[in-house]
Amino acid sequence: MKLSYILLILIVPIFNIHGQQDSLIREQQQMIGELSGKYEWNGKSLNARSSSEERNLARDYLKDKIRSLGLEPKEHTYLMPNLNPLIDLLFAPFKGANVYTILEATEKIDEYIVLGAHFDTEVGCPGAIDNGTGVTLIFSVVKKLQSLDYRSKNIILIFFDQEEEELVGSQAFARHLKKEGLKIHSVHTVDTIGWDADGDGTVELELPSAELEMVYTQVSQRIGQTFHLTRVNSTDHHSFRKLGYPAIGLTDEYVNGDYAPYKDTPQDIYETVNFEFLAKSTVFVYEVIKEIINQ
Amino acid sequence: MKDSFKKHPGLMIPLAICCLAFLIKGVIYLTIGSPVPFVLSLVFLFFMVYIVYNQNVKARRMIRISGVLIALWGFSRLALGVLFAFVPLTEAHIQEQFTVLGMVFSLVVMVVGVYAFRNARTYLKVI
Repeated sequence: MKLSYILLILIVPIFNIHGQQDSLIREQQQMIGELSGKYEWNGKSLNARSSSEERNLARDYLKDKIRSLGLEPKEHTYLMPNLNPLIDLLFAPFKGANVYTILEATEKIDEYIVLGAHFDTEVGCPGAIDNGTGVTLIFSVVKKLQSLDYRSKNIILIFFDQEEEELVGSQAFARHLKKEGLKIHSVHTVDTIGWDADGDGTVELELPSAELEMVYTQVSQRIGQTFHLTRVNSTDHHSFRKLGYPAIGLTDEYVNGDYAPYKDTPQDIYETVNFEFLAKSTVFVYEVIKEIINQ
Repeated sequence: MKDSFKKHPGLMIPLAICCLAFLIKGVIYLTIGSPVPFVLSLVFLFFMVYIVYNQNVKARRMIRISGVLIALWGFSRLALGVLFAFVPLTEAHIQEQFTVLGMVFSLVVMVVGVYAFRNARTYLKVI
């Protein structure tokens, strides 16, 4: 009898963990399916998120998802110059809008963690991995963080516009944060995290600040997550680092060669996403953020 | 000032509209941290003011320079539009500026520039 109880006590948490993982994967499958046009949302299909019209629809979708968490979605609209004044002479400025929300700390505090991923794609690309995975990962992390009894920092969940066009959305938001004078603890961005052909579950951490590298290392050792450090600066975290914010980027093994081969093509579809890898990476980021907000 | 517009409406009104459009574009860019278009639009504005108040050889030269610059602007956009029809863009921001309407607008601006250049001499003759 006693043995049965002991077995039960041991087995129930294992089933619970697997149950949670399965539930996370199902949620992420649904979200990436909707983001990449496999499933319809409100009778509409998000086949790509590149043109103004497509990005407007994607924003509506993301705002709806934020509302589903019981949070208030906000838009950060911007106009940004082109890369070169000569181009400015010929063309109109970049025009877009980031979508964000704030998950408040459980105590009154003015410090923020930024958790971001871009939602746009290149022309004609469904963007299941680039960057449906990043969007889904940070959304899932914030959903999990909501259930914590204690959070020592506010979390800004932000979906950047126009990353595929010179990181315009994140640059505009970084400037906005600077202008508002918000106290930012750290910025974590996720881009393209749905491919793991060698099955080793390894992720790449891009240019972390010393403090962030320490936290990511500690957590990775605790949960058995492997990673490589790289010096890639071609995605959103760079916009924040340029303005002096501690930042880090998370991706699949882009430098190591184990990354989505269909990135920026019409073949970047739902069926190519490795959902187990995405769920594992989600847990990693969640544990890191939890570690930071428990400090 | 009234004389300039009254006697040369076909030349002055399109030039003034172009100047205003470039000035608006310049102000928009200035507010978002890119001063070059604004500085150039001020040069254009200076030309226009000089042209309106002076009917001399300098004014004629300024009409010609303005005409060349406007025509170049329209031509550059048209050429890029044609190029991008053969080499598809991956960026929607630029692609969306080469709609049929955008191309017609560029063509009209180019025609205004060519017209101003070719008719600069009449400005001096009539007044």
